[in-house]
Amino acid sequence: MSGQAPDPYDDRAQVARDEATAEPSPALVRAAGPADDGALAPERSRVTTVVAAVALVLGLGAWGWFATEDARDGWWALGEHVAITPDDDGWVEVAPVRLRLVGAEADVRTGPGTAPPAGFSYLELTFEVTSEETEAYRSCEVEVLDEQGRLFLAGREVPGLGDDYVSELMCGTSDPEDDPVPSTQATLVLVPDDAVPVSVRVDSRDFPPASFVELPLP
Amino acid sequence: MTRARWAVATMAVAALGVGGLANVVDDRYLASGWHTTVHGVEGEDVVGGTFQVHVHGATAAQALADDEPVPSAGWYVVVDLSYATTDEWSTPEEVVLVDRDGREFTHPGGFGSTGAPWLAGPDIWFRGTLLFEVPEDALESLSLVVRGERPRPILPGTVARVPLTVTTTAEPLVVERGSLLPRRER
Repeated sequence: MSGQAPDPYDDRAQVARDEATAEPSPALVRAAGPADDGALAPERSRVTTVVAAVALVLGLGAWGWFATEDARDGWWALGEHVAITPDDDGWVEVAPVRLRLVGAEADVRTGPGTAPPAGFSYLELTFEVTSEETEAYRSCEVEVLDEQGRLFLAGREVPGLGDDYVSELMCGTSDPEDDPVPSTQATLVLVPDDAVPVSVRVDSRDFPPASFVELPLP
Repeated sequence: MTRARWAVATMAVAALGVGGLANVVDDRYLASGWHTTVHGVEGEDVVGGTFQVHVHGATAAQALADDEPVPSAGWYVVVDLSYATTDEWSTPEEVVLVDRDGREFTHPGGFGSTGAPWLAGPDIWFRGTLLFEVPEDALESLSLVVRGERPRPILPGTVARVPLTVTTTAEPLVVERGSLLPRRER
């Protein structure tokens, strides 16, 4: 404050600051032994840097893993990602079902009153199926993949033609005596005229997650 | 500052930045459903996600045609539209009417599958009518919103939105089931 005498404690504080910042005497330096800053500081810095980098990467990785749990589970479980392809004889086995595609006939004629709409045709697919499932009914969905990546579902908007065609393959039965799995099964698929089919996909809720059968078309 | 300290400081800033970005994404998108809206107009095709939609028009009346006309306390709206998918056979997860205040009107209960969305295939178009029930003050500002995929907050999606010009009539409305169209027809 103006008009007041200088504080006598100011001088002592200045002395204390001077002592704290003063260079140590050579005797004190000798007594303390060699300084460790020069040899160890860069090494310790490198270790600190590496540890921090590893911790950062691990932290971000863990966060990303937990944050994407639902997306990963949904993507994997709900999608078709693992194609099971046929052996040299055309057979595919996804226990307890074995099947193979034995016929694919384009532009099938189904008789008067059952013709497809203008610009569409029916593709007939015939399968041989065997199943060791005798405890429960199982069905397998059939789709046709075309060059544009479109999937055309069998049994949709096709005529009901008695026992000639099924909308889904029968892949298991709970009554093997009276209602066995037919060894030959055929289905119809409605496809636009511009579709170029490349393969047939067979899928079932009973298949392992993300797995499906892919049968190339000739 | 030494190079090591710069590296540590950079990593700390990066960690804070990534965390902040994650919070922003979670707050703005994931928590409320991450979707993009594609705007269309009546009479033209619009593609929203995996669905292609073509709205022909919309009509409103205070009764539905049946053996005995079914009255409404508000207005029934039937939307005449065609749609197909782009990839595989599927039914839209949800189709709603939205007014200018953001109110959403879904398919009314008690009608079963009548006037509800139907299954369509890849480039396999079906035409029919969807049924809604709205209050009178919503009639002039309705848009049709087609949500093709399940509105999952964990994955981004796309919806199609088409503003409607609603015509009112005194005649009870008729609801048509979706039926398969010849190729390239709408």
